[in-house]
Amino acid sequence: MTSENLRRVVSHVLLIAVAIVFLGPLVYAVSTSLKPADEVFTPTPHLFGSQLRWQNYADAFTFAPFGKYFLNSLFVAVTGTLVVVCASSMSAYAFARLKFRGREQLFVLFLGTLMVPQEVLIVPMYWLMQSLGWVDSYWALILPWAFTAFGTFLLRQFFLTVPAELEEAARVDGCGPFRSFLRIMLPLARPAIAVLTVFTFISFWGSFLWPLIIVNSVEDKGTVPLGLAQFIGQQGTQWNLMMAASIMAMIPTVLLVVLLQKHLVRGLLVTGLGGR
Amino acid sequence: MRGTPARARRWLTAAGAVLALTAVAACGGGNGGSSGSGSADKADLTWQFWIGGTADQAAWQKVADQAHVDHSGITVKLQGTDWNNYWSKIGTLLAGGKAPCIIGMQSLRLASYASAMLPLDDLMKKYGLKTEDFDKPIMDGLKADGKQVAIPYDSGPMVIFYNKDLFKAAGVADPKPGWTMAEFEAAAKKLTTGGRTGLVTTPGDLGVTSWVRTLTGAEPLAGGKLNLTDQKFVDGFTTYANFVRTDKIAPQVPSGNSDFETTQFTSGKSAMQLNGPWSLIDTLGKVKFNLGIAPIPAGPDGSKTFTAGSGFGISRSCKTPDAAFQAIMSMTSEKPLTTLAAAGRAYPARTAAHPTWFTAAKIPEAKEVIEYASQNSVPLVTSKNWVQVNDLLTRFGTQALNGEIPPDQALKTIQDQAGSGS
Amino acid sequence: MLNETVAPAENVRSGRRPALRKDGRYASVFLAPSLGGLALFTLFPTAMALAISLFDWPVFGERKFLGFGNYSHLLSDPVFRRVVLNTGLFVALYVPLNVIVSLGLATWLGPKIKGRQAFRVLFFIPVMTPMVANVMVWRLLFQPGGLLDAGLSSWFGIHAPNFLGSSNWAMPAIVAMSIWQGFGYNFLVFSAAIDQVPQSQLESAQIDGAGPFQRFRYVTWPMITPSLFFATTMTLITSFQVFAQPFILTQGGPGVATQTIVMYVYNQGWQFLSMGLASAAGWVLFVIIMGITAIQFVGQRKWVNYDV
Repeated sequence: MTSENLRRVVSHVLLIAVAIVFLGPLVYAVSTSLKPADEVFTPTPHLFGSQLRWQNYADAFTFAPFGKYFLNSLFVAVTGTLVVVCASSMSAYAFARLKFRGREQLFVLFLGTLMVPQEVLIVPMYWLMQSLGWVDSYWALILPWAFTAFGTFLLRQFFLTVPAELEEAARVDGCGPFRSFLRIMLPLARPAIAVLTVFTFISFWGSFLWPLIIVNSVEDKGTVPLGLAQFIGQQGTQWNLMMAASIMAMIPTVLLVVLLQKHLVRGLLVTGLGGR
Repeated sequence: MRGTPARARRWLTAAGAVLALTAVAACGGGNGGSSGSGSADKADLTWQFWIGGTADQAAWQKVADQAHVDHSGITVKLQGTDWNNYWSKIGTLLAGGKAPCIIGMQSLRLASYASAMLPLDDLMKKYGLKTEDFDKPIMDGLKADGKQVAIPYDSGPMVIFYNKDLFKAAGVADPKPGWTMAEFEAAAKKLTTGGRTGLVTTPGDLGVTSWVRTLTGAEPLAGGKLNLTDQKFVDGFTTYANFVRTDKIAPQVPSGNSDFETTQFTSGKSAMQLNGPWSLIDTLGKVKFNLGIAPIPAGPDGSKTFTAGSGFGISRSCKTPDAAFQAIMSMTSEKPLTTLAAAGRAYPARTAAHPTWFTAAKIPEAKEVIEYASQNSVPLVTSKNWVQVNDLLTRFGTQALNGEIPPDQALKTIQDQAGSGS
Repeated sequence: MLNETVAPAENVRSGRRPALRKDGRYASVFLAPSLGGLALFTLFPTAMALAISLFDWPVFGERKFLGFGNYSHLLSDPVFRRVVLNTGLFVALYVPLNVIVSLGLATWLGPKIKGRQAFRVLFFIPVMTPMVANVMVWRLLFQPGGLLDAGLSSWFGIHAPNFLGSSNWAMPAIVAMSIWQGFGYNFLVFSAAIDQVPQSQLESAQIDGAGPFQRFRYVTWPMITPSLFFATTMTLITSFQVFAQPFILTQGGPGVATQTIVMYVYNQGWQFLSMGLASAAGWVLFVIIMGITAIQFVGQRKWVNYDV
């Protein structure tokens, strides 16, 4: 065996070890999700309880209206992502391709908003929602965070890399900016849009602080993270059910990432997040 | 910058787009907390309450439905938040002036929100609510500045839950009403063995104040002002902290983990816990051992404890307080409270519903112990900044119990901090 | 390159460059949604937060103009100073560790490693999971009687430290949890960057006798500095806003050992209902983030290489 091969074997073994350590908490979550309630805390840790209680998954779903929470979260995350992608791709196109006065200043202002922490905004945002009559509504869950400079920045970086000739040719053929945007730029931008979609969807899906503040009727407008918080009760935490619900809460995002994985890595390359 | 027509038009377009967006969005919204409308006998009311899951929701919706049974024109819709986040939620709701008509209120937090709640005394007279049918300590506990702010549904003096099996195994006699602090400490020491502890503590308000009251008779407020640096309070708190830091009859506490105490007790790792009757039947369903209850051990002046409980009040922004009050009268009437008692959800605030609860509790000594504790208890009346006091108590109390800072220093910090911001 | 695209105003007005003028009109349409949204949902609330921060703005009762009263209260409050220090400590521990772990693993998992796609998804799982769920898993590990404690005491007969109840352990525990949760994001970004490094260059360096560290330093590093800059800047900005981890793991305790600025904002605003103080604390955070980001941008000229 050459030293190169030996190195490769050692490297793989080590990697697997790292992966196992990393996986520990996840495995423990799965194992807890399958235990009976009174075996979550035992003097000696066990991977499995006295039985594999798959029933926990069904119980978690009925403990709180999780079906409703999943639908709400999906609706909010999908709509929110759509708005983000539409608005950001349009403004990114303007910043990358259209010439107008004050463009650079405006772009700097856009980037500046990236630094405003969400938490600075929540106090006035709550009053804003109240005066719009949006408290406890889907509008409030979606719109306040659907206009981010992050998406604009990301897609602009991509649009800048598209050779200008492509578009100029189209324009000579009589294509206005709208058509060239829709027909040429957007299809080319698929990988970059995949990146934005994944990141936006994840942040909507996991969002906790804002729904906590703006949702009054959890049973009606609650999202998955708020549902998870319900397992922490006055009389103690339902650990096994909570872990079962947490694992189910991963499924949509994991599916999305697995589906978009090829685009995602390419997208990271072309948007300049990975390299230039 | 010069404003050219083209420029102005661009801005107009942009502004127009924003307006259009807002307008479109606004049509669909507009449902941000209804304050109810209608007359005294006809109203659709919303009720904000703490809810922990579907089963809870169903049980409390039944309570709400009692209003409709009694008054066919009144409906009550239940709107829930989990317990931990309930208090920040109603703060913003009440502040916005669009709070639901009926608000769930706990005696310890009442003072913080009382200014946004409607005093009920006139309505009580008008509709003839008989206060003598309710437990007196909790009726008093739901008053702010002498005015009734909420009508209670549950009540309860803090008592000791204990693990009868562990007591038996350690050869310790079951505690009886009247047991002393010395007996408690001896029992706890004997029970602390083999990775188990005699007691489990919490730095939260009810735990700390009840123990301090029985140990030295000191109370957290004097004349409405926070009085934590009073020597008697410091002494009581030091003894309590010493259970963990020096006597080691109770385990170290984690920070910000309100259910650690319950987890530790129900999993059989600690033999005793201070708790309220409202948790008793729920705990019975969780534990695998024989559960017993006893009053808090007697200090120099006998067994003394605090009562806490919860009820329903009316927000000031409610447009139909008469209807809301009638609904609350129905919701706290004998029938729903008896149903709640039978299901073990709350130790009822109405004396008439007590027998049902004792039957459901299935612990023979429950009646004697709770009545004994009730007689030796006063309501824990709190101050306006109590939410903050409890937050500070939990933070610095954790450090005091774990022996990171001296107990008197913890109390001084809390007193200073709570004084500065109200 | 940026300036040449900005046309002088006279040209627009005189109409000598009609294409540009037309672009302007199109641009306003393309920009309207984002601009409107940002104006309504970011700029306006930011300004309003500044206004609120100048008032004693209790949720109940009268509002009083204080000028900079809230700010001077914050600066003189030992708790708030500690809160700022805690946030700084979290950032100082979290950002470098996050970058080291994610960059280290991304380099290690180079194109030669089999199954790297699977690893990418694997390390990304916590990023995809709602933070509440992640934090609760770790509470299960950390709390007394939890996995770590039970494991140590039953296999080695010693008790684990009281991770969430000890002032010394609570912050490291939160940092450890956060790195586990968050490094997958940067890992993915760095992996993509490293993929772009041409294998031929690495191989020729190897033929020239460069060891793995030299290859990284002289071949890989210069090519990935732009993404490194982007990733560190974003990680810095977001790590200053840490909330859910201390909120659920420790409630900011014991004492104020793990209280962060955002938790302080939440507590003041939503627990103690004093919106003025909450907004002022929020603005302090905003200013800190602006300062740090400015330093980053100035510093990048020294080490970020855009021309390779």
